[in-house]
Amino acid sequence: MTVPCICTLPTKEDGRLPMILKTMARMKEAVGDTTALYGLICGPFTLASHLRGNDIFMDMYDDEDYVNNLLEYCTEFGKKMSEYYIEAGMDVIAVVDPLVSQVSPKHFAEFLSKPFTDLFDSIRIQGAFSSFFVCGDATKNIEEMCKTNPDSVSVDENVNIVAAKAVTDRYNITIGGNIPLTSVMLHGTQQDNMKYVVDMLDKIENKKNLIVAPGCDIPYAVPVENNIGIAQAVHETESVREMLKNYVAVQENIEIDLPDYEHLTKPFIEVFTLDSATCAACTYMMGAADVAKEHFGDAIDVVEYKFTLKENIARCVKMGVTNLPSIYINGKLRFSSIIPRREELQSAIEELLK
Amino acid sequence: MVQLYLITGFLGAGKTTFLKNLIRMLSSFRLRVIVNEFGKEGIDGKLLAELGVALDEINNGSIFCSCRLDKFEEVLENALSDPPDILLVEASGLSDPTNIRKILTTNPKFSSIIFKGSICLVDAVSFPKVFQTARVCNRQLSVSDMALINKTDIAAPEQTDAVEKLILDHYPELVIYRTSFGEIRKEWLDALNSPSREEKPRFQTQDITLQKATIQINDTMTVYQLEQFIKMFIEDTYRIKGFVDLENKTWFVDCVGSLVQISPYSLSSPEKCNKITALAGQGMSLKKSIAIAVEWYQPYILGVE
Repeated sequence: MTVPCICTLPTKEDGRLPMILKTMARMKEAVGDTTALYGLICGPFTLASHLRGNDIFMDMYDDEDYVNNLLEYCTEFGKKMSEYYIEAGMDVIAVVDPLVSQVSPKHFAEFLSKPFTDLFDSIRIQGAFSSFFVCGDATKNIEEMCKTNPDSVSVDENVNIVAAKAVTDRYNITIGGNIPLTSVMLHGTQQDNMKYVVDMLDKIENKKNLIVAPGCDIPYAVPVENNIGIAQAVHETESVREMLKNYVAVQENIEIDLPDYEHLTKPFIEVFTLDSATCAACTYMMGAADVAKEHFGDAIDVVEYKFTLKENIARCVKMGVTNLPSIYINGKLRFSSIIPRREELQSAIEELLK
Repeated sequence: MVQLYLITGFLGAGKTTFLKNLIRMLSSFRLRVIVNEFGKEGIDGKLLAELGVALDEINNGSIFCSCRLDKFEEVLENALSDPPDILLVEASGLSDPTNIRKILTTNPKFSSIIFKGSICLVDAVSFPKVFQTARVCNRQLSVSDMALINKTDIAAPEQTDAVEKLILDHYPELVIYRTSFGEIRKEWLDALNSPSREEKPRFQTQDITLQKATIQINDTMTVYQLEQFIKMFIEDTYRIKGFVDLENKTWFVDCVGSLVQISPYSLSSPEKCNKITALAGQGMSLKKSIAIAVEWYQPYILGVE
């Protein structure tokens, strides 16, 4: 069996790299000042399995030299990709290698320790951070993974993150994870997601070296508001804890008078937010409403209901508001989570002024 | 009620060929097939059309990866909206099928599905090697009710004997048949379907080679932690049993293969003891795995004997 030649390592013009690098540059420009960007590459072991096929598991038994040589090539590949991504502005290179969870710690030490250590060293020399991303139940290999010196390790919902953090803490490595993707993020409500994060943070005593993240790629259909809720729970944990407590409490006694939406004298814009002062999406949603108020002046009424106040929670429950932030006009939901463009909101209001 | 069979086995063991044979055997029933394509040869569209079998394919990743579970659930729900008599699920060679048992038993949406059994295809030639290197082989066997040693036509008899012994060393209770070209006999499927599957007599004679470990659990452990603790060494056991009093309730621990099962126990336990006993075949590295797990969950484990 032959290993691909070094001359087949990618250039920046190969495959879909031009599109990827262009996108990275755009993201860097747009949010680079406030948000760390992860560039994901295929890890050397998974890449080797794509190139060699399932026979690689036989080769690990029959032809160790071949496996080592193939892994060396795949590591060089990873170094090249990292180089391009770092140049394009990525702050963290995530080495994604799901196949790592398929082998024993013994085989990891035998075949994978050297390639991964090599790769993480090269990322470090180039001035970027690295993350060792393994999907599946990587529990048994966490310690071996730490020994390859990544800056962080990312785990999915199969791993007990509290117990795993005890291991990563010993190596002073950051651990990221591991919100369940389907049961919580996809099927859960915004409250479910906020509660999950609050509970997780409560279980982790030492919050240093912790990144709260989804367990893996977020399913496409995950509602945006779930992500918004998660972020808010991380930034404003105590405030969110209060919200959740009150949410449960108000279920019993709701005493809120809703406006008489049928007989309003002017369009009534109600903005429901988690908290426009601290939640970014909420700030923008409130901002859109404020711009409209500036434009229409006294012709319309605008009000914000923050979820931080009990009576506002009660109003949400009574009106059936489930996702924050959202804009209701004259008692009807018009915009949910996605911030309306200026024209969109304006024309929605103009319709009612006719 | 929909009956579901799971077909598992490492890449190249012959699952697709076997599946075609199974489809032909069950063609008098209304069938639907869910396939996770990772390999080269897909199911023959012509065959399916001939027999009127519906097919769902899940691509880009293993069905049982956390990030693909939603797709699998979606396909399953879809299948139930126009229910077939029998659902055949072919798991990709690298996927861990323990999650499917979990989905079927815990999600109320799927309560109308009867899990009939899991059949594991084993390659008589390459199995001993891939079993050493790919951990998933263990899990596939452990969740299975039947193992079919395939490709016996190209394997030497000693090779096939060695594979059977290797499997029995780890799973003394597993029903094993030998075959080639993925053929299945009707009696085997009938045996799988029979409601009373008695303990195999060979279990008793192999008693002396079995490994056993009893673990004392601290009552401050949570059920979730116990579950995760057990997951760390369950692959090196074929049975774990015991009663534990945790979170002010009594629980019955009864794990077979790689499936962790901890259920509330309504009757009072015989004695207040937080002990679980793990049984392993002679080929498994039970003590070592338990040692590592104990290291991770130190404050919650009082002792191992």
